[in-house]
Amino acid sequence: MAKNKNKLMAKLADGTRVAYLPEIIGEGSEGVVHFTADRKSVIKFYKDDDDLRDPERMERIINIVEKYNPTLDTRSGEYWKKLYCWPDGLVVSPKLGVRVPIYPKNFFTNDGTEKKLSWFVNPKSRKLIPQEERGTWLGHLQMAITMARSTRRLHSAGLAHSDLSYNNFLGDPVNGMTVMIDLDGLVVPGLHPPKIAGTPGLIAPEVIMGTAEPSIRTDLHALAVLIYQTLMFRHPLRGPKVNSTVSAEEDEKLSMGKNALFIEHPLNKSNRPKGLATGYECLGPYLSELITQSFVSSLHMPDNRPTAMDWETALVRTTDLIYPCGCEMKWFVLSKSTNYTCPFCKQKPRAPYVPSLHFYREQPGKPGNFLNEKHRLVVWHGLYLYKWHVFDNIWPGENVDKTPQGYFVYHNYEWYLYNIEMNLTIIDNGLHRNVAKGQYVKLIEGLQLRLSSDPRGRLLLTQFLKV
Amino acid sequence: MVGTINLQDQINQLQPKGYLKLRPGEYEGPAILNHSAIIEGNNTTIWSRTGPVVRVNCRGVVLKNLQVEATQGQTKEICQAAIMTDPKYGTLIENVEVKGKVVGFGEESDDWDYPLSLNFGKLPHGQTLHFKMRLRLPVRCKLISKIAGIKFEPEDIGPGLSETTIKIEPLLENSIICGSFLMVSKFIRRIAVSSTVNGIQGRDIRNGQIIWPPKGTANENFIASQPNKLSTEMLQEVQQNTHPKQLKKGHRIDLVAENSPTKITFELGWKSRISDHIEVDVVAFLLGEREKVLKDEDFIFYGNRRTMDESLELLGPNSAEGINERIIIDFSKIHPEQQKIIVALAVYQGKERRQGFAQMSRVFIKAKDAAVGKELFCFEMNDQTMLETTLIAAEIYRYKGKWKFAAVGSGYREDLAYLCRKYGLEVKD
Repeated sequence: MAKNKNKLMAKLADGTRVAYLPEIIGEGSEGVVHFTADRKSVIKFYKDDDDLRDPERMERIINIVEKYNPTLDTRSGEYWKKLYCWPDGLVVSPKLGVRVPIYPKNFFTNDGTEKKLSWFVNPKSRKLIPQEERGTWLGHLQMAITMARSTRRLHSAGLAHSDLSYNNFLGDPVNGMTVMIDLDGLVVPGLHPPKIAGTPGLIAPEVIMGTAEPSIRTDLHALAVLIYQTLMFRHPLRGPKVNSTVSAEEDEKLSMGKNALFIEHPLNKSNRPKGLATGYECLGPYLSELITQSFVSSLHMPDNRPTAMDWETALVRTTDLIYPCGCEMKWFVLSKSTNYTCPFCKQKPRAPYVPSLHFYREQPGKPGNFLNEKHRLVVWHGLYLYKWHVFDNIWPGENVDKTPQGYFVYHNYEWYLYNIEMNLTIIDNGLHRNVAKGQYVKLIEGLQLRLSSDPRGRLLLTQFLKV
Repeated sequence: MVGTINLQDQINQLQPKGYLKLRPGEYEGPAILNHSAIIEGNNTTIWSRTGPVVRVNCRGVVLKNLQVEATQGQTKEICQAAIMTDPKYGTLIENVEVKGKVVGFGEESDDWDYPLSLNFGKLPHGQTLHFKMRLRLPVRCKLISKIAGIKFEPEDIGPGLSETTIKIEPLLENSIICGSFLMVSKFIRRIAVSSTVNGIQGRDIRNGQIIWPPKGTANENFIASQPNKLSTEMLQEVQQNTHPKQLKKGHRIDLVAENSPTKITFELGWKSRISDHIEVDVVAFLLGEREKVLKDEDFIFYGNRRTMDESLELLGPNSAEGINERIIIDFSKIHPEQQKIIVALAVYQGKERRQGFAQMSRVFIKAKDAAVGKELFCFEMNDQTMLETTLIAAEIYRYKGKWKFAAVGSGYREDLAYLCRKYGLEVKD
């Protein structure tokens, strides 16, 4: 009862009254944060009293809360609620502020601390995290996917985050999830961007050099750095090279700005840390291409940076190249560039031959003609096939059906595909044979698997990798 | 299997002249019809390991839109029949595909000698292909290809031993062919077809080869349904249609002998991958010994379209064929001091407009014999990581009494002025 007496009331722009607790639970440069009385949300009041009188700021927040709010989407809103802590109310009284849902439970440790992404991507801090909270490398790959996806969704609405950082993503590598927070600072199209330039290490070179303001393009630099760091556990630009001896600030400004140089640059090795054993090629072909584009060819060409969609596509496709390992990281990309060894522990798969299935899609308007998609699936024991494998027009995005369609088994040195839900035909040396649901087929070199004879059904060609 | 009620039970429940509509999917037979009925499917298969899969024992039966499959394959045994009836019952058939024999349908019930599947093996890409197929059929059939780009000539064959030519349009590299041919008479019979198309040499079958002869036909005269071309003629045609050489970056090949009267047209093309128009200039530099032009006129561009001696000329585009610019070179007229010709593309104001070859697809240079128009080779520079704004497509140079062609495909992140300076021209900023 005593607590109730202490409740304070705030009013939202739509007239709703919201009770909140007087204790300040957090404070930043922009505002102070209180729990709502039901503890399901927080209210952030802006510190600057001028904000209430600044119509542009008000308009920006209204736009964020309403017009650009992906969690209001009738089809996929629930999914986006997992990826964003999106402000859901504009507070107009007693001060200007926003109401934001609290972070989901899995982003807190047992003692109530929020899990910042920075803990997991830095090898030193990662070692301090309890083993059960560290997750696997697949968890990191999945975190990279949700970061790319949440960024892609913002960018597709024309919004820029302007401060994508280790602190504005909370991470949960155990479940392979991230949640984007502090979204009230988004750059809304047509309105002035916020004054924050970003977080050190993630600010695009052109912003540091003063030639550009935060935008979608500069987000893409931050996203590339975050993804590289999440997967490789090191910063792509922080190497031994000293760019200024005048001051640490000057050196940082040059190293991240005008003189920024990728630590793995193939030609200019002056920023390469000593003993850098594993190169980014261990991430497989799709990500290697984007990393080269981001940090070698287009580091200083903002227009040529890979988009968030490019990253999401490459990351999702890379999940088709992973293989389990017995080491702490549990998963790695099975890649010829690392001689099919795990880059973390140098072990090889136990099976002497691993199936690699090449994807082919039927050429639109040309029935019977299947084109190589330059996309393949590395098979491991227990791997499931989903509809996004079976059909070339299903993208494993936010709304996808996750019913398994088939699975692979390694038994007595042979590999098998069990058909669960597919209209599966195999073509073995020209002979076509249906594989009924509930039946299985042994994989052999050159075997073709028509996963569905329905329109957009894929054809897979079996190849064995001698690992 | 579809539904919970057995197919035979559903048939038994029908009144005489009744109508049974089957859902898409598979139904296990056998099914026996002892009174008149219409059985209609919709992507419906009736199958059984023991035949006949469908047996009609009465008049007034219509089978429509069905696939009837004796799953033990195609033998002459009645127990492997797909459909069995007596001619006196006059069973009506409409769009019914069979796998296995049919009994009681007159000539349709005689022997069929055709492949259940055809495997073309590894086919080469990028060229027209012809193969022959000989079939022994008891009735006249229409052949239908369900694979785009594959046709039959003739389409109508039989009865008797017949030959048809399978014509395959150029296939894409590293693609796969997977589909069916249908033989349509009273019934439909299916031939499953597959092939992998490989860029690597080493095809399994030769062009013009007979890919399926019926048993014991080696010395028999085949019966063509229509006058047919002789296979030697076909082979010649194939050879003429054979696609020209595809060059890769770094390839060097012989063009012509020095002072040869041959004229070669080089066709250049590109497409923008972005919505903005990208303006590209095609230029040529005729260089002397020291890799520099001997005089300003040896720089050929839109403002100076031909050399004084008419050895090289810009002909302009040929939009109908997707060609953006053509250069004709008369090798007999090139001055002996000129050692090398650089053919380059330059994006107009590429740096300022932030446009470059990364934003283009299918940038190519093709060489054609100018006299007969025959394509000699093509070099595609399909590297979308190219950040260059000027691109050297090719170098044509003298070597041991010949003119050679080097496929270069790389350039500079600089504008045309840079190239001009490099090759000895004075350019004002």
